[in-house]
Amino acid sequence: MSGSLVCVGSGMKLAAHITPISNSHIEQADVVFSLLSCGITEKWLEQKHSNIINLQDYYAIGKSRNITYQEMVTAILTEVRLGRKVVAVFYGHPGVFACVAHRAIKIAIDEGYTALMEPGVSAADCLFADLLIDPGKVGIQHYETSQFMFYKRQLDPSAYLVLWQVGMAGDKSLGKVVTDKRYRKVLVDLLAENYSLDHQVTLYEAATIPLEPIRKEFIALKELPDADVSQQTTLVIPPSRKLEKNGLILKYLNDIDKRYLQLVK
Amino acid sequence: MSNIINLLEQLATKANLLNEAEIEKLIVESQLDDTLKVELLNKNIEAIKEALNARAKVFCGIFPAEDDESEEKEEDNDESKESTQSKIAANS
Repeated sequence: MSGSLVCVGSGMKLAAHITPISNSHIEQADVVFSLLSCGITEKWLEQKHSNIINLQDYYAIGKSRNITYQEMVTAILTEVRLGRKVVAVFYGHPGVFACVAHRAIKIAIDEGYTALMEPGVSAADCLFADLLIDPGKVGIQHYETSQFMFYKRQLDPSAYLVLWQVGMAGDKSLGKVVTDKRYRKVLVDLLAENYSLDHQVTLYEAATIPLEPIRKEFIALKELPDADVSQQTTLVIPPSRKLEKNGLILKYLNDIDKRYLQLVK
Repeated sequence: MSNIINLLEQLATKANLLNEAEIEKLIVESQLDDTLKVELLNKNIEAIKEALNARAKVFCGIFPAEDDESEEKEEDNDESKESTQSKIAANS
């Protein structure tokens, strides 16, 4: 079958974070779908290809985003099935907190088309750099905020906790652009099981174009309901506890080492 | 339009354009009209969007808290479990 699909990431910052291979895929495409986080970046992409279909048009306030995502997948696959070389450009990384690329690629492969994903610099990558957090230092847990609220999770307060899409916290309808303070109050109550209300947290937003500053605002957890949050805001919660040694496992490992040393002697 | 985009692309990708003086020099010496230069120097992102006729508001969520697809599969599984149980009941 002649149709193909490549989902690429534009990265977060206009032109700075896209990989050479993703640029090349865009140049060679018959049709390019775009789902970007900034109108200026959309204009930048329009200069790179003459046949761009903007997936933003599928969103509508009050419409469930699950319907929107399905329509986006259908639009992409319709072009693939027509035998075209299709590239879909998503802001950040096309496969990180982004369901459309995963769904479209899976269906395309199931139907026998060539389909693959190329990574881009994600919001998480920018977060690590801008906030100088090494995820390896004490570990890190990432959750979509509403999912974190809807389901019982095993939270490790000795690791970082990063809650994505905090602006839409608790939205069961998937139709709101931003939820109000009542929803974030429920989130704070949930977090208070593991963090003091005075625990310092960070509201983070990556820069999407040069000249635009990153947002790095430190607040107390109890201030979250009244904080100014948007669709782009991520909540970063540092550990509230120190790492606790696992004495039993360390003893087992010591025993292995001792036996090894005896054998060597 | 392409002039602003090209300038923003340079600002985003050139390591020598990290300090304010260099940024200012690039903007002032560009071929853009004076009004736009002032907006760029003031870092007025909304004015730049307007000048480019760029979409003012974009939606950013591409991830649902609950996945319709997995819910449907779970429902399918529940249905098949029920039908299996019905068959077992009917055969016993």
